[in-house]
Amino acid sequence: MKLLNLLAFSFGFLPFRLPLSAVILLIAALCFAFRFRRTGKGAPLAVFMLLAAAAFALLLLFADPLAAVPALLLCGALLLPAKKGGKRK
Amino acid sequence: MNLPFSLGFTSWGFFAALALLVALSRLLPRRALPTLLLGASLLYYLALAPAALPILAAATVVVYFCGRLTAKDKSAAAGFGVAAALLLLAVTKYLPALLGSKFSIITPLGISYFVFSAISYLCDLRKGKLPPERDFGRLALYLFFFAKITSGPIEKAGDFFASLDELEKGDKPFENRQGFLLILSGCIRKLAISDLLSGAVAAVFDAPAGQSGLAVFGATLCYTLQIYGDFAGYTDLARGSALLLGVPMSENFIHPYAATSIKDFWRRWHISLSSFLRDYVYIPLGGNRKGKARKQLNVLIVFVLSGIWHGVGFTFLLWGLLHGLLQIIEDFLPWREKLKARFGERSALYLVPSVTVTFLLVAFCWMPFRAADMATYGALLKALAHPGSLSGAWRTLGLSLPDLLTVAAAFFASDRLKKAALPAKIPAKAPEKAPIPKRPTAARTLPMRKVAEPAVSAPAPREEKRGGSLTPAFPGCLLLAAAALLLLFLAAKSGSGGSFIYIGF
Repeated sequence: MKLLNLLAFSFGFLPFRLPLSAVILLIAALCFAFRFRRTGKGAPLAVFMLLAAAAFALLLLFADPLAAVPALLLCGALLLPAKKGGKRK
Repeated sequence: MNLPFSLGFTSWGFFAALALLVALSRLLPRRALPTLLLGASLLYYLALAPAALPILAAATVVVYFCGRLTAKDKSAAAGFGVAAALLLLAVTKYLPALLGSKFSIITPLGISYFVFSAISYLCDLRKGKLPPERDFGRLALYLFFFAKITSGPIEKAGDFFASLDELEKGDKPFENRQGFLLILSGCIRKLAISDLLSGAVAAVFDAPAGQSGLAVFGATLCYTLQIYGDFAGYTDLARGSALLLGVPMSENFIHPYAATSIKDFWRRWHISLSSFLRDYVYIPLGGNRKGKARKQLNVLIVFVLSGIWHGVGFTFLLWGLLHGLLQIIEDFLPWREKLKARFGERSALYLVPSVTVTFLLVAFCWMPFRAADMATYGALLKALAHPGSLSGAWRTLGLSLPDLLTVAAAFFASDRLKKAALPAKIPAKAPEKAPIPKRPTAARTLPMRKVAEPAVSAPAPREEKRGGSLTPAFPGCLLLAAAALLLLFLAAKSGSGGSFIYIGF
């Protein structure tokens, strides 16, 4: 999963791979959604991830780098642990 | 000296210099680090404001000798030092602004913060809170430290010297993770909140004539967010850079717009300035010990001084006065306390009205702060009486929906980053004695030492590893770093990315 994320955003930086990056990100978000659904925790997080990833993908497809910023910020923030000191239950 | 590159906190030049400095700090022995930091700080100041360096260097010498003499004669030397520092502030900052072209002198960059640091040092010496600093270099580093010289935070001398002692001894490891996360948070706050909203604010505040009420209201809200993003972003960058070099600095902002009253707001906004004014102005004036009327007067004096400190002009004075008056009114109209007592401090029925009213009042107070002069402020107030159309206001502000989404996402991201940057909670120490299993197990038949060790110590290292490791935050950080880099590239390309608002103060 982490490798998938890493790949998604390595590709995301390269403008000529934008559509590919969007697709990979969507897959990553779906994986998150399924994982959270399976464990029964963090369903809203998964939904937000999915929406953010979809928005990111759409915006990237228009090849507007500035428009990709909110999606990057949102996805990044959602992937950060919500607890103090980076701890997760 | 005109550098071919910028050294602003969100410039490539600054990051390259910081990387070099961090690399050097890891190579050199710990005892050499204060010298390295002093050299870097002086070079930084020389690059930014070369003409002002001799003035501040002379002031440092005066502060040093006043500090040394304070050990012998406590009041006179410290009093002279404080008076000299205030005179320097008055002559370099206020006289040129008041007299205009009749009086010309260089206003040293960061003079307000320099003077406040000097006053803090001398007053603490006089109170006997710390011994006079014998090492001139350490005092010069306290006054010139590159991360705080231009816009704070206003560190107390005792805390700063204690940090330097720890740095030299090598007691604490460098906080690389926290420093990196704070720098990331600062970049996002500055580039994705402050710089993004600056255009909308300028569109209204720089051309107030003929604006609609909704446009003024929208621009005021934008400025409320912009100044927070700007100053909190600066503080994060300063604290992050200092942490990478082994010097922790105090927090300046704790969710100020979640304050439930103006008093609460000042406990969360520019905390180092509030603490300074409390310790060196409000308490010496008598604080709340001399009756209610005197307390209100002291509050008013403190906030008027705070307004004057921010700049010359009636707009700043009015801003300070408004904050002081609002605090006094709060004392006479305790509606928040009544709501709190009735519904509880966590109830939405208390929090929503309290936070909303406080936010709107604070936003209203920012209007004179941002207005160029009183005439502009008057025009903006007049405009509020004519709301106009929503679509017209939206066009004036020139914002798009993705812009608003970016600002919201940046607030969220920086908040998460700050949480991740906080030190992890150390798990409660395991009991000394291993709990005795209720039922006999196979392990119990083994010698006791072998059984007890894993039973006691097994969970702790795992918790520590999870709490202190970068791993849980890594994917998120990677994305946010990508966003910050993208914003930095775009800002460098377009030549935008203005300087920080508080550098002007």
